[in-house]
Amino acid sequence: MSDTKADEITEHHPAPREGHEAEYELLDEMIGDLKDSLIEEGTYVHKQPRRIFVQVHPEKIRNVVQHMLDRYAMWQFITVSGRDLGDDLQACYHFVINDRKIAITFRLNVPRSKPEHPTISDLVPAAEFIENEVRELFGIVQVGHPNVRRIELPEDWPATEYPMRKDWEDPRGLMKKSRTTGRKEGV
Amino acid sequence: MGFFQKLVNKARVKSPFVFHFNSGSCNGCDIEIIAALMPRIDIERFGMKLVGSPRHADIMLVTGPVSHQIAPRLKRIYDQMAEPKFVVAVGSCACSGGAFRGGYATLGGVDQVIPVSAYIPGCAPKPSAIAYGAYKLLEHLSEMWGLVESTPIEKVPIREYKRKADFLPHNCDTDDMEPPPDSVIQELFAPVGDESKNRPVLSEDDPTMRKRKELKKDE
Amino acid sequence: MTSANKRIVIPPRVTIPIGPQHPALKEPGMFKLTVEGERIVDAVVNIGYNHRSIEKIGENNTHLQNLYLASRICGICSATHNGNYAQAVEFAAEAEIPERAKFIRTLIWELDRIHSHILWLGVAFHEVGFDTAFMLSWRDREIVMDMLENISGNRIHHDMNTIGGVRRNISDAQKEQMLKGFDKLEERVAFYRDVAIHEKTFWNRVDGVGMLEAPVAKKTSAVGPTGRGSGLKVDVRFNDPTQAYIPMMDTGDFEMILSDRGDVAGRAVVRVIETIEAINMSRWLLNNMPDGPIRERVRPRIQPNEVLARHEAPRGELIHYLVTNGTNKPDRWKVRAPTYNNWTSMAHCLRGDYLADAPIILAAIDPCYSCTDRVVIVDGNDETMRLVSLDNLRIENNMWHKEHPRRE
Repeated sequence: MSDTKADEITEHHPAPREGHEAEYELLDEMIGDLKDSLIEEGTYVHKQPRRIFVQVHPEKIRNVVQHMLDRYAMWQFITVSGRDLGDDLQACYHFVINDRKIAITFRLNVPRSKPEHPTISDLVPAAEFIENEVRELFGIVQVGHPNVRRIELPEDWPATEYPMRKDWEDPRGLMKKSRTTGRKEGV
Repeated sequence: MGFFQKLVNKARVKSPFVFHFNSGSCNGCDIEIIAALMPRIDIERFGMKLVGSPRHADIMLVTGPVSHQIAPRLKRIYDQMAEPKFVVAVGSCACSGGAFRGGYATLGGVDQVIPVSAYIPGCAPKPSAIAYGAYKLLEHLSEMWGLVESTPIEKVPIREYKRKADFLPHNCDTDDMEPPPDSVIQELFAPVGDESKNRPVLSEDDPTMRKRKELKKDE
Repeated sequence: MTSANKRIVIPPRVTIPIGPQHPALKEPGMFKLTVEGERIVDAVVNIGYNHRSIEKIGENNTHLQNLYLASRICGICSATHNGNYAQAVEFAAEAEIPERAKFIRTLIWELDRIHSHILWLGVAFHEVGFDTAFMLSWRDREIVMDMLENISGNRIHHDMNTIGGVRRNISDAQKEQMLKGFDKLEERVAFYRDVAIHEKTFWNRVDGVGMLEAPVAKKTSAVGPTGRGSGLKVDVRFNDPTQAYIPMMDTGDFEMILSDRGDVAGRAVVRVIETIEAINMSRWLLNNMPDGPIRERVRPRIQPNEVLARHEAPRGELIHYLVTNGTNKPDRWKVRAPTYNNWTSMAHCLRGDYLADAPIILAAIDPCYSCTDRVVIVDGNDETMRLVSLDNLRIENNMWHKEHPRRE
């Protein structure tokens, strides 16, 4: 906790080979098949048992997911989480391979100026809702999404306000308003 | 107030119909409201019945920090209730926003949208607390409508002084009270056996206590 | 009417919005059911009335404050969120907590599971109109609530966990009381299992209703009893054990409860038998609890790390994805509650079934949802709008089932 300077690097805690053989075996197979879709830095086996984190090129996410669905029967989809990294936006796709009991996370970084990547909701129908949510909270656009609509935010929320970004300044002053007491106007 | 009006008011107080509305809560308070209808704390014996439509209801129980999406619906349902209507905010979230104050999606309490008659704090308030809160509201209503004379309250005599705290200055009504004899005071203020028994139950060699002492040494 | 005058009437498709509130359940949500006559043809789920911006508030709170915020995400499975967040922070800090703390944490999880399943059972009885069993099962749920209040001080939102262990210890007197309570509870839950399976009032309403076949369940990633009721082997306690589940799985006494029926009855059976299994697990935990300290001091600044913490809540698999930087506040905290995944499977379940079965199908995924409102029934033929409250709809549905019994 003393080296808070190089945040991006020390966030990843790769695990030693002993004790994590099953995860390393899976990771090696994956790197062997999908060499050019994965990015080496950011792909590792975590120290916590049964976790793998994989960094993926944004345009290649469909190939990766299709390959995993075919070869490893990765039908259990968990969620998509978005994250604001400063000059990039990150979307993490979390899956579980039930036979091997390993949880895999696919991460993709998209630049803030053009945050687009292809959608996977036709391969994984369960992802439809949650991709909408990431879109409206972070602004990451999934190209080809069948049913774009408002999920969590009210209908009159302006389309360019993305609340979960770090630099979002509350234009309506809502976060401060809900802390005050007494009657509030304009509600 | 004529006889008919008195009868109607008595019916309103003795058998209020309750409507429950969830404005985005975590459901803890809702489960406790339903548990108040269950055989352990049966508020139906007070005449309170849960109805499914706000048009049939006298009292509305609202839970949850009001989220932006649900605020117009809450207002609409409040408008659909018939006069006289009362709103009870159940739980900390309905009173003031609870744990969700400071969020961009909550308004911070039911009284931002509709006028509230009673607040029941707690997270979640126990079913007996909800029953007590509803009972307090009814007591207040019956006083307001002048129904109190019909049910006289039995006056309870002042209890005898048996506690140390009764001798503190702010508790004494010095005008019509004579001080007790010295022997009584001595008996009350004498040490009662082993005072250390009143301490909290952390033993000396509990590791938490040890670490706390170590930290104190560090500072 | 003679046969010459008979017309073939194709019933028009009508869309019925249900929501955003619903009696006897939890959060507001809205569904649009497209109905043809009495059969549901399409279902669209609209959520978002319960958006409380918890993740944004969490980014401004310290980890310790977030424990209490996490507990209040859901009132029914609050111990699971609390424990899972504590577990996630401990993984991020790579801290080892004492054994007794792990056992107490797991015990609270199992007690939470028992009370949540009995709650669901009572609500399911209520949805089919069997109010007697609703009242009886909730009366017996009070045994578990008393136990929880005894240990932690509150009936819900127990907040037993802290970063580095648990906050309160279990004394021997409390343990004796709990074991006595478990004996009584076990015979009552066995009684409800017999009622749920053998009582025709309930069984006929749930048998064959809301079919979710295994391939569809896989595609929509159903978790928890919804998935296990269709035969999928999804149970984090067995697949990815943490805390005291590791020694528990090593004994091999407990097994995953699966059912290959795929309908609402399958999910009901899975839940009831899981309750009995949870009582056995709690007894095992109480009897084998090691002595020792209950918490370990963890420094408030957590090293930068990213953690995916999984846990089996009563409704399914619960995920907390936590990214820490070197401070005492999280950088990113993502919660995925199990019901989020089950909604998509519910849209599939609703298609092809009668409108009268909609309430029990909605209740069968055990949604963390409370809806009550009016159901607008638009009759395309004579263009009248009938405003009906969901309570009345339930009463009408029960009467309809009485007149058109499913089994002779």
